[in-house]
Amino acid sequence: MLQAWRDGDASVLERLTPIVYAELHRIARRNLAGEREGHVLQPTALVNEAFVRLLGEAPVEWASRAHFFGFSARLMRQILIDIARAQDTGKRGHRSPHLGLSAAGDLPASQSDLVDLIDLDRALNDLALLDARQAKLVELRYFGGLENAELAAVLGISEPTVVRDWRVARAWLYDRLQSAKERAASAP
Amino acid sequence: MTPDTYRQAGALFDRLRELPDKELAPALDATCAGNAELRAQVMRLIEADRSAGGRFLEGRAVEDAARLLVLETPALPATGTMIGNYRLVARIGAGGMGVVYEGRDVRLDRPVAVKILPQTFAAGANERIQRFQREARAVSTLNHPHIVSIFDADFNQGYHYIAMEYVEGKTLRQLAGAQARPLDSQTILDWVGQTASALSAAHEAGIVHRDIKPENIMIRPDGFVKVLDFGLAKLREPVNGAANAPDFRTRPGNLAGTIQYLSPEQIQGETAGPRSDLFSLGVVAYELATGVRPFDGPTDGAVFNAILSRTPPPPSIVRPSLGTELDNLILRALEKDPELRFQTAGDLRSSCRRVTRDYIANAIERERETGQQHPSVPAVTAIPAKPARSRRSRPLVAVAGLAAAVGAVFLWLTRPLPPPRVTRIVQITNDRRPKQSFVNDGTRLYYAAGMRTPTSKYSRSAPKVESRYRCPSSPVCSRSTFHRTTPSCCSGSTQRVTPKTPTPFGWRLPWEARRGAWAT
Repeated sequence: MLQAWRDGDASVLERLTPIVYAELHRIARRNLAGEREGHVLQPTALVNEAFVRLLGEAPVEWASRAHFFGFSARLMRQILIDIARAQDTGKRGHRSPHLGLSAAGDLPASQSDLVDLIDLDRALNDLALLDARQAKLVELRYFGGLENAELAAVLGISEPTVVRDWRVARAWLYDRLQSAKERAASAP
Repeated sequence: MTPDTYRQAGALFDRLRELPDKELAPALDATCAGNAELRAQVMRLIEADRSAGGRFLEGRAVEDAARLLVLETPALPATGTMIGNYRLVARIGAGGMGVVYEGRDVRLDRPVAVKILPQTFAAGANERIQRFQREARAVSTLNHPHIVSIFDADFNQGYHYIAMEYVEGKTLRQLAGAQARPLDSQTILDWVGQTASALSAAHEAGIVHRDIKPENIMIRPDGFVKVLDFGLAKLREPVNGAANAPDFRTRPGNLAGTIQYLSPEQIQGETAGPRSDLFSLGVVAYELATGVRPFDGPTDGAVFNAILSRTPPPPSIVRPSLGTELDNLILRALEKDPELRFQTAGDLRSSCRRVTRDYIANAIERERETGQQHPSVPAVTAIPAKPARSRRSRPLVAVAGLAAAVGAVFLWLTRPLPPPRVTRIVQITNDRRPKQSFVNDGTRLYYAAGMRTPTSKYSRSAPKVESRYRCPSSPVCSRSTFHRTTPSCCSGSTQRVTPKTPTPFGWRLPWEARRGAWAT
């Protein structure tokens, strides 16, 4: 299946996208209702579900847990970035929150709280050139939803190293996204 | 920047980032040893780390993406806007089914609540909108004091809205959040009973609520219950109804928000019937009684699994101070098989009333019994109040003290048993269990059942029934009688208390007396 996807068979992506989209809407509605509690589907659960639906009842045989986690996280990143791009069409640079809603809902107070996923995607690609393991770590953690212990197991490093690498990568990405924002603001 | 520089900068960042400002610069100078690019890079990382704060990337991408999505949805009407005949006054709440405004009907000059439905409905097919109108019309025919009336449902100014009776009060969800102490069983029974009454009227009119949950049950300040959103949950389901139902299981988007109140049949994709509402109400009652949800878990899957297969512990186990009177009622509402639940909302309502009646009757009886308790203890302690002055009076004082002490111990040991606490309610008719030794004293029935009787050696020497059973403060049983076997004692016709260890001479063992004798 993984091979199939690599070979350009986009069916996995196609099947998974509506599921992720529905989940996003569910979370969005929950946020709108000001409900803090509730469940967020784990990315791995989403991907697993997509496969179960794609292949019928048969669970997918994965070469390893690490393999599956890595695949889920990458898929998730791809889908979320695609969704963000679709939302973003033609609005780059002057996206603004609707005031009616921010006043109404329990939403993040400002746009600065929000991560620009498209910028993040680019920054992650750049990070991969500097330190591939750290880029992988960010992908697994942020998009794949893995915890530190799982990250350590998947990447084959110790937990303190996970924490250290994460801190560095996060700082670097933040710096990157801030400068991207500043550039966007100064552009006409 | 090269990977090498990045790696070095990362290592230095890790070592130096916790240094205070004034030590940072010298430390950087020392470690970077003239490498200006490295020094600048480390500095950037440290500054970025500080201004990133605790939130940046610490959540999950799915949630951040969802927040972006919220910002993209069209704005809600501002307060002051006129929609139909209604002026929106203030936004008072929101839920999966839309945002609610306090409004004013300008024509009739009366307060209304206006619910603006989510745009996803408007975006749906024509059929969905027609169904919405149809459903709203059906619900508007319901006329019941416990059901929030619908005045109007229409499309205006780009919004689908429902205008309904404005209810002053709080939803059970809000109350549960604000409540400092847990509710007593009478209040729970009252509210559940009133809700069941609303459901009963709706079910008779062929309308199933489908989404009974604390957010949809409002309590007015005077304790009057109003149930909201009848039948609206139907609009969330796929247009083709049951045919598409299995999809609804796997598409998380269709299960907006709360899933903990769904019935097993709803989860399995079957059509929700009247008895599904009773299950959901059972979940609400359980949560009101114990403060915890009977079916919960960290993921949707875990919740589904709990609803389908887990039997929750009786509420009185979760919250012992509650008493057992609610257990049967709530657990019956939570039966997985609809056939085993209350069959109609009317059944549930009358059960609530019956349990309330028994509960009140018991409370009155308890009060009467505790009122009759010996006033001896304060009298005894009053005796040695005067201190002795001369040496000659000392023995006298000692004797008097001893007598008082003996008297106190005697009175303490023989004081009436505390009133029985209801530990369990059992049906004693038609349960196919043989009963022994029925005794009736006019107001109560005593019997022995389900135990090996008589087991103790005392029973043989006490052949008379009334000497084997002791009943609290009963006019028939004398104070010298006591239980020598372990009988069951029934008050009314259905309650039972289990006595403790048998003791000779009608005395309770001191430790038993202290922990409440045979009331367990």
